[in-house]
Amino acid sequence: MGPGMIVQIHQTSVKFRMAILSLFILAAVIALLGKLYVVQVEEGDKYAKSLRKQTTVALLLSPARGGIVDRNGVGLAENKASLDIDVYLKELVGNYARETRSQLPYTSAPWDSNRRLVDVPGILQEKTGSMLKDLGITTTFDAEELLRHYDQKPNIPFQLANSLDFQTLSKFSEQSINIAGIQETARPIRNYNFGAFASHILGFVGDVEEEKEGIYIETVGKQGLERSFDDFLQGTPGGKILRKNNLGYIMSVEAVQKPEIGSTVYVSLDARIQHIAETAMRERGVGRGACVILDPHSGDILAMVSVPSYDPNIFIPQVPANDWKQLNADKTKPLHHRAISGYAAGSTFKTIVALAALNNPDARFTPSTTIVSNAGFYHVNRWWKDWYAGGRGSINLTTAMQWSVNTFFYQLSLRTGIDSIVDMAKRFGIGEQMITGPNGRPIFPTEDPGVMPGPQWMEDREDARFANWAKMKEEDPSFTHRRWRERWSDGHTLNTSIGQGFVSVTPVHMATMVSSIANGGIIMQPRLILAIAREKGGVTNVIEEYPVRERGRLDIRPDYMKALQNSMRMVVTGGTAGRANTDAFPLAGKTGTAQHWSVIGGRKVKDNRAWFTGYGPYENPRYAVAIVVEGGAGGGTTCGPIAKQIFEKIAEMEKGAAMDMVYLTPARGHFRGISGAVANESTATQDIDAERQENSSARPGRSFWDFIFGRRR
Amino acid sequence: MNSIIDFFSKFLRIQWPLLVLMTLATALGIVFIRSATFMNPSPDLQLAADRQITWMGIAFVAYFLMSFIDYRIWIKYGYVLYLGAVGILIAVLAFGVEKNLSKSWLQLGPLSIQPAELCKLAFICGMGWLITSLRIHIKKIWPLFIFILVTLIPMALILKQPDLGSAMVMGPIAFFMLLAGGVRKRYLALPVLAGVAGVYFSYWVVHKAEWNGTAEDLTRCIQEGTLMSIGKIPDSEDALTMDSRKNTVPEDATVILKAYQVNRIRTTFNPDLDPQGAGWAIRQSLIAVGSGGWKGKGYMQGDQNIYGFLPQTTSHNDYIFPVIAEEWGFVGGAGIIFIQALILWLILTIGASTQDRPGSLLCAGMAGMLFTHFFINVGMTIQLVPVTGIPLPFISYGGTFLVACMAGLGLVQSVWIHRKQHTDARKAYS
Repeated sequence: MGPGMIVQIHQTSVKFRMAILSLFILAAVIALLGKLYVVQVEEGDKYAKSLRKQTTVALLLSPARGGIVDRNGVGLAENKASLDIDVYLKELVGNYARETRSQLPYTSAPWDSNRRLVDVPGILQEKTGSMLKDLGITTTFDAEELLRHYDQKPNIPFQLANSLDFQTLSKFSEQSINIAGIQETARPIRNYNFGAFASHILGFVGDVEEEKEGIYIETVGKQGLERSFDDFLQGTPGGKILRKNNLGYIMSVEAVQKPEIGSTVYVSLDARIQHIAETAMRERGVGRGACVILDPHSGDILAMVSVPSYDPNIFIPQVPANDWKQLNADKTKPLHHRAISGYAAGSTFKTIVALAALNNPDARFTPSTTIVSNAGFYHVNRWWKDWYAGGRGSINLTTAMQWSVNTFFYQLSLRTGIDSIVDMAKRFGIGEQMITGPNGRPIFPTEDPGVMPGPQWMEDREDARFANWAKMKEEDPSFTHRRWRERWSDGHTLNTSIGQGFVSVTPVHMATMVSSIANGGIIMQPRLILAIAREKGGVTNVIEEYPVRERGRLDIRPDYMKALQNSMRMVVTGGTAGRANTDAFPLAGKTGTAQHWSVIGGRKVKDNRAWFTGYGPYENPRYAVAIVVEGGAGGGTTCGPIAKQIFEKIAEMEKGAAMDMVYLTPARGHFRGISGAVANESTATQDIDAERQENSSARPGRSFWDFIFGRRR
Repeated sequence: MNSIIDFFSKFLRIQWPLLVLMTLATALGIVFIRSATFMNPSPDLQLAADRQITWMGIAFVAYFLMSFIDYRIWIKYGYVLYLGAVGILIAVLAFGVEKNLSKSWLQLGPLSIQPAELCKLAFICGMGWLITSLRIHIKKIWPLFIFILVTLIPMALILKQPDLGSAMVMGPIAFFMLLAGGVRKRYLALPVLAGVAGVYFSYWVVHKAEWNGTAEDLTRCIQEGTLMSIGKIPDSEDALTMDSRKNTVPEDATVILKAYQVNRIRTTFNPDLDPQGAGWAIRQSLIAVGSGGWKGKGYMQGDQNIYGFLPQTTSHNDYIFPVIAEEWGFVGGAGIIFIQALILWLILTIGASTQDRPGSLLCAGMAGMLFTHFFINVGMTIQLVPVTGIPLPFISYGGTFLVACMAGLGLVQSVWIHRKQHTDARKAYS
């Protein structure tokens, strides 16, 4: 074997061994290419998505909320700028993680001890705590709220502090410049221009409690119109897509969609009249009550006051827990909207009885018909007294209205029959929600429909009671069931005729009723919303208009109507509402005092509902009004002066006197009974408008014969 | 006069495809180093591409120098080079400069070099000398122990810096050279099998069966892992977070693998386990590569790259491949793989074509070195191998390594240029 041979063997062996290595490398290259193909081509979309997720920040641009504007264009609820400090939590945490090489502090969620979350409050405290303290900025959140926010909506900035003054904010801005995720913003927040002004109508906005899927909005209407028209007021949120780098710094703006301001809601209120009414209710010391003023020709609600009230601005941007608790705990219920709450109508209901009788040919009743009205009369085994012990003798409608004679209306109600009264009351909407949109849907879901009792109503009620009692018993073992079935009787009719018993009406109902008398017999549907309009590029487009609606007409002879109007004028000039009489503004009206007992401080005390319903000016009516005061001494004494003050001010306003529309503080509620200051001794005796219906809430008892025969009714 | 003719004849004998591919790869490297650093916040790193151009100049000088010098001198004095390298490595441990948490740099005036890269070349030469010296005993088993010892010494010294990646490269280099040198294939099959078993164990026992690293748990996990691997029981779902399945180790257990090592293995297979920590780099790398798609996003337009999600301190060296794959897509990524594979193939061809044993040993060693770098570097960015910080030959930023690679290719070129001479010499000798 020569050296050549050795070379040859070496050569073959090396070639073979190099081939093995080549195969080795080939296999590796195939593996690399295969894996590269999988990553780039097959799973490319997945990684592209991850890339989007980590390099983009989607920010919500909140739209400014639409305004609520009165009939003359005066803004009632608008926006103002609030200087806030926002924290983008993801950005904050992300940077913290990087700084500390992922040594993030963890804490367990307060609502679920098994969940571990990044201790965001701790990080925030570490980063900003001392700075905030030095600048004296108070923050408005608690740790749980912050953790929840981080857990559920990390894309929405968290508000660290709000409503700062400019100096503090700029100082903070200087110091926080190196903390990623902290941003100073000016954001539009709700402002109610006149404070505790129509607060029950406007309502207020608050934080979103339940997120709608995929829609991130910051505030939502919680009460009143803010809630009912939230969809319109809300506007369309915009958004911004930003590109960020690994440190969370924003590198570029990829796309911007500007937010669109919400629509404006035009309400029928007249801010000046509302202000007058609000002020009058406060100045006359009303502790609980309501006042509604309508335009009798259109049904427009010009003012609607509920006392006590609250300042919705304290709820913006967040409801302070204490205030909220206090408002809810307040026994006078400041959050309760009294202008749309049911009350016993008292003697103001007599107007409806009179209308029913005048309208009913079978009653054979004209304004000149006289009825003997003594101090009382006997019917269904009972003595039905008049509040005036002396008796009135043979009187006609005018006198009966003037002095609110119970015995007259007792007899009149029997004469015309309960059915005609029910029919008349239903025309004014008693038993239904009155403030509705064109589709008939109520604007305030909490509006009390009221109750107009009658034979059919009684049947239905008893049917329902019998159908449900077993279930009620199951739910509440202490539930006691009245075994006998109640039927409508003349006793019920008599009670109803003076607005007692089951009758329940809202001030809006009564204002509607009195409007129809003021305008000569046209029943107008009350209207609160005039239109909803959208502003875009300086052009206002009405997107929804709420037309004037007529409910129906009273087909009463014009001379009868004139006589009724006259009798209502007499009530003011020389009757129970003498205190409302003023030369500046001739009014017509009817008073009422409904007996009511409330449990206040554990004691059952008399808490009458004093009423005044009326309109003016008498000759050419422009306003119809209904005032109710809880705890009032009597309709004339309590409500008369309020009406007087309101309309004197309106008269001044109409003459062009300058209005001082001051910011209103909340009307405080109380349980002190109020009676108007005794202005004139001579009228004082007549003033005592305390129609005493001792039988008011009593149902007709068992008669003597019932007792003898052991009958149950 | 004679030497000039000699020089030109050598110059004409250069294997041009190898030179062209190498230049192409280096140029691409500079282009993408620019892309990887132009958005870097550090002004020093923004100059990386310029510095790489300077280094390329130095590297070309080294390349041609190595090409035209007869390679046999390096083999002849291989033991000197090897001992010198070991000495330098010890010097690094003593006087080295620490950068990025490892003490692997030597400062020589304005130049800071990584001796470990050059030591790989010295190791190849030393190994060549050793194999050549022991060639008559090569089929026996005892020389293997010498080879292993010789490999382990520089490996241990580099590991001490610590530079796991460079240390690991020594293994495959030795493997390639021993295979080319004629060691029995059955001996060499052993480390291959061990490697395969290691991967198998890591995947099925540590990752899927969730071995916690203790002796007590080992039996169960081996059973479960084996059954899962042959499909007898269903795979376990990948855990979502490190928290969701805690690696609980009882107090009195005998620990074989420490918790961090177990976690490292698991994170390799499932980077989502620790997206902010150990899995960060591999996740970002996968997102970069994956989002590149077929054609990529265009040069200097890779979001992952310019927004700094690829680790910004290493995107121009160890993570240069994701930058290319993101900006030039699958086309670009596969192109890089092709260039590298072609270079390797040319080296092996040269090694096979020479009839001189030291020549083919040098080629095998260089192939081993370049292949390991290339495979691990590209593989780690697409989750084929565990994350190990070693650069991609010719393309990654790094002066010493570029010089080492190009000088190494110069050696290979020299083998090509001088292959006839030595064959002729042998023939004359015989």
